[in-house]
Amino acid sequence: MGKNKFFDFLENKFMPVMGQISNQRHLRAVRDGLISTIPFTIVGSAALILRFPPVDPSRVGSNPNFLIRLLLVWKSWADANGDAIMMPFQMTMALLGIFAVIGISYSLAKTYKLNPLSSIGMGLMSYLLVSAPATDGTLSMAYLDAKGLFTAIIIGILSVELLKFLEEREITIKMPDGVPPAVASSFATLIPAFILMTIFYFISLIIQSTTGMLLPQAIMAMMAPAVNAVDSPFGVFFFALLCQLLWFTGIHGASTVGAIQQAFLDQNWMRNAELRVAGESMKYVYTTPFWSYFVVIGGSGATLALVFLYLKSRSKQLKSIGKLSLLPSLFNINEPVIFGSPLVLNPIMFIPFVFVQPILGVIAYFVVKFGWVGKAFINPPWTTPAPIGAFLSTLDWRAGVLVIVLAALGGLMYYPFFKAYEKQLVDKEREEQQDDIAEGSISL
Amino acid sequence: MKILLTCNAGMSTSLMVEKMKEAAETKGLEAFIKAEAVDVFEDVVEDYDVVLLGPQIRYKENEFKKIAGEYGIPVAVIDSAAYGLVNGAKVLEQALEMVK
Repeated sequence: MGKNKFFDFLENKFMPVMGQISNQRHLRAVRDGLISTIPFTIVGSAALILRFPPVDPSRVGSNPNFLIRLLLVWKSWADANGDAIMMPFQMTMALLGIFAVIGISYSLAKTYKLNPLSSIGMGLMSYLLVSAPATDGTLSMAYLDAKGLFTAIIIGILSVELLKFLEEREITIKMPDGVPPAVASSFATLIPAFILMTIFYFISLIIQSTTGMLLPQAIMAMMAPAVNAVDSPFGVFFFALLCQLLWFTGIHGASTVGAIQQAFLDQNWMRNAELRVAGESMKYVYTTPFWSYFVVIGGSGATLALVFLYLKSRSKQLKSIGKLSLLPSLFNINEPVIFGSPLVLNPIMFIPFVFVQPILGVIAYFVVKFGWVGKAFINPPWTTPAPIGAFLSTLDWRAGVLVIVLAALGGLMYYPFFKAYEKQLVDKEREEQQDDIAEGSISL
Repeated sequence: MKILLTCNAGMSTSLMVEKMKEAAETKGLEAFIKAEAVDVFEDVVEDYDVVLLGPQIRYKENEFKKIAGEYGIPVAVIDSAAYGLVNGAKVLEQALEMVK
């Protein structure tokens, strides 16, 4: 396949299909539903940061400096008040499934124009029914956290689909005209609620009696191969590459790829948080913060270092893009770089723009896998500058260093291509200037 | 004149909004310009006179044209070179052309 044929394929075949994926109703509902949980997970993350000061007493020397002593005081306070500090975590991330099922059933109901309140109620009821067995008046929280995330997604979608199915066939109680709408709509929910409850509870009981597992356990077991495939060097490379192929055609790759991988990455960092809280060793490398700070460093394509190259460029166009986008890039926003350079459909920049990011991602994966940098278990907002975000998400200062090393490495890989492209632009800019002189529009 | 810009999270279009406001001020034009995330488009669109999409979500163009069309609001994708160079004046011009 020739180069132009390949680019045509990207533009005309690949992009529309992927556009459809990021537009797909259920994937979008899952993504939007998960996005709606972010404020709560940030509150929970703040509790985690308070609870785990970045200091290890066993490694502190005999004569610690002032900062270390301060951290040690913080640590002894955090250890003494652990439960109180962790309450915001318990009420957010340890109940993540509840927030997720609410967000997902709401988002999906909105696309069907169903009553959002009854849809949330149905989703929540069905989820609790299969995930939180009550014994002696106590509800078990064991599967309401990240372990119940995939269940929340599946139940949230199924319950809204069932509700829609029943409403379309008018299997509801119709109140006569004149009954207040609020009363009528609560009765309209009654029969679907019974039907949903029967179906989900029946399925749950069958699963329990045949496998001995609660539904979320069974779903976790079923999802394990997929989770392991995503959390691998191959997974990182694949998604980072896919993201860039999309951006190369000019559409938002990160958001499209997010529609597919977000649920996995979210469950991974939150499982890490739960393991960390339980004092066990964390399991997952490829997490939401890993993507935000180790993969898309300075925005999709890991363009942070490229922006610094632009600042010193001899091409007027690149230099002005560099100045314009330095600040946004520090906060991981780089659309000016992508469209202004442009990197979109630019054959010279194709190789670095598409491949630098997946290569850096795989390097980061192994560095974390080998334990040279801690695993992420806290999720700061994605707009946090990468080295700071990397530190906050792992509470390991080496994560910040890794980001800077990766960014520099990315700069090295971009450099030869940047030089070639710069030369082309400088020649063009010189030609244009000479044309202007010839036409007399610039006087010397 | 109310102009809505929308992109994935409303982040990069908010850069554009600032530049467009500057451009509107230089022209002495009274304009309300705002960036929103793509998910809230449906809820807010009816309050605007014209809608511009960031080029990175241009696959939404047809869907949004249909929704905004019900209110008679024109929708277009921002020229990607103007978007990259954050050329507020040019994009403002594009918006003005659309409501003519």
